[in-house]
Amino acid sequence: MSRSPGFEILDHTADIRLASTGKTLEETMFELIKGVIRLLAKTETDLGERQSDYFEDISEDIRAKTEREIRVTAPNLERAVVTLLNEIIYLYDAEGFEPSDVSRLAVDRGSVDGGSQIRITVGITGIGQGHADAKERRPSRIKAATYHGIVASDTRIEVVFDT
Amino acid sequence: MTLSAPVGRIISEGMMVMSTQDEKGEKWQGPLERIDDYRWRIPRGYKPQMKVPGIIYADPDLLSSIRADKAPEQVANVACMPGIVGASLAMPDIHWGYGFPIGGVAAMAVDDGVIAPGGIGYDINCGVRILLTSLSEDEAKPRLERLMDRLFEEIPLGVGSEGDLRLNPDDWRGVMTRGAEWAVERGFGLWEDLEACEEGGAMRGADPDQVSSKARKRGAGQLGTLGSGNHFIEVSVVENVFNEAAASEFGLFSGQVVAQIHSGSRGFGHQICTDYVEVMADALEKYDIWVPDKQLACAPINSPEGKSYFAAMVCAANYAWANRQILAHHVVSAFEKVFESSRAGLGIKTLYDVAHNIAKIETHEVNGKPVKLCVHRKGATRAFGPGRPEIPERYRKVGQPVLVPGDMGRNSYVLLGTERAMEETFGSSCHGAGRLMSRRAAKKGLTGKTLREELRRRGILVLAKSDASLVEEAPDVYKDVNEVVGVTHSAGISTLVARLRPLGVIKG
Repeated sequence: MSRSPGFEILDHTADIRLASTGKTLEETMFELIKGVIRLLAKTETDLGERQSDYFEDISEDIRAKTEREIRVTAPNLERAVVTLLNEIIYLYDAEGFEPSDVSRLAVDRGSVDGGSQIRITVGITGIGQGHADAKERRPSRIKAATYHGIVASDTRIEVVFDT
Repeated sequence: MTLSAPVGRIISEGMMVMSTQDEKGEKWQGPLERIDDYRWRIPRGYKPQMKVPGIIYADPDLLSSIRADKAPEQVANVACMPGIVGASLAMPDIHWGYGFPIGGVAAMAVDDGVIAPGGIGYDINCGVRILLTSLSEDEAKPRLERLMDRLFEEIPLGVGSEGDLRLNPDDWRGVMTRGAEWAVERGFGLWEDLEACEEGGAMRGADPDQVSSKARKRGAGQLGTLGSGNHFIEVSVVENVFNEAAASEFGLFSGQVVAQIHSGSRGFGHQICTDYVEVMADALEKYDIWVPDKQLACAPINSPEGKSYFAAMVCAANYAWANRQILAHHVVSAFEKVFESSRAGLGIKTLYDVAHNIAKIETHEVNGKPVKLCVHRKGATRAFGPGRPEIPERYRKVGQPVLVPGDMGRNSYVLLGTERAMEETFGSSCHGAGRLMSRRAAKKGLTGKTLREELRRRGILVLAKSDASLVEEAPDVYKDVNEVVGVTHSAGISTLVARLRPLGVIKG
């Protein structure tokens, strides 16, 4: 895979692996978040014969787009990546927020008490915020981002998801 | 030993892309020493940090697929963990997981060992329950389609699906501390069901204060729901009885209709694991612990972090037992409505309910002395032999029922725990077929419609909420459970009692 920005979903026996690349950490992180949004989103193939039912079931107010902000502070990039992805999955699974796009992203590196620190602030647009009735949610199969085989550099990130 | 499977491959070779090797197409090349036909050792010297050897239960055929997905490397990694006793064990259904292999068993000494959330898995107490009926296949067949439709209607299914239960704070405490007992008190099932559950359906040692509000929020509304992925409800028939004496003790007979329920702790357990992997990542530094894979993050069992995780894990385990108790209630209700008879009239009883993903504090003999251990079973089943006090009294004479679900197109098994398992595997056995290919590979060239039609032609009715989820669980993505169970039986870590054949399957 070249360093041109992008993401790809790779085969893994029991799980799903997501890889993103970019020329800078911001670019790589941006692609990673786009990748997890793709994993959470459903396609016509995924929904099969029930696609029309899903969309008919979702009422207008749930379809209205909204933005959620996620802030992550971690001692290193690996921790920041896993924490951020798990927060996105949590918002989907617990709060019914279905992400659709990355609206803004800021990555800062600094130090606290002599140790390094990385801060990520991301705005994600989506539908379904605050919607409590999961019966209207479209299912996803990723349940957690793991540290297993994680690769985290400015130009490439790879994460395995529990499914 | 390979048991003859009554069905062949359902999909032509050209339609499926086998993907048992990793992305680079490399097989694991590490050392495997043959102990006997069914046991293979990864020597301690393979990695300098290994504290014990690795032992893999497999025959040469299974070993080929095990090498292909590099799971033995994970067996060796687990052997490096502090306080591990005996060996890092891999059951015949082992496959590549995250950190720990799925199908892995690791016992750590409570005095100086560690506990690792990754050694239990995200779906804490994912497990299986079997309900017996007095119906024969011939009696059930005419109403089978109605039964499967009813089950599909009554049971909330996929990821994030919500049931009708809403938990107040007292309910939450009850679910977390008393599991299936709480469910029976709320009218789901009978007290006698609990006599046939591992831990009586309510494991001691839960502390709700160790569970985050995020976990509660994620688990709210999911109690009494099946979930997606490999979770299912299956109506099966007892196809063959291998051990008449044990089958009789278990209430099994040839031609009998039974129901299997496979589910776990849903989003609640997932969030607890997610939360505590982060806690353990900090603990690695605090306690100066080295692990070869960060997903093996752990803390001393007796540390504040270790105790806190164990108490939270028990809360999730109890949630899962409550979940299966409620799901079983719905299954019973569907049988009652479709067959127009009562639970008693249909002879419905719980055979057993086992955990596949859990850590237990157990005492086992190590080098001739009893030692208190924290036994991690990730994709493995407790398989205690006769006489152990942990087994329900009704089974104590013969040994524990070991429930091994297969894929939706092949068989499932009821096995018997053995003394040999007590001696070799800390009383553990296989838990299923074991995955052979990735979920993406499973989807190539196969549609839900094709799969459903093919299974219907073979007499298996399949209903699923999601086509994608259905295809990911197609029979050919799994190892042949007949082969897995054959090795398990031949190795003596649990032995054959009965084989089940699917009649109908509900998937999330």
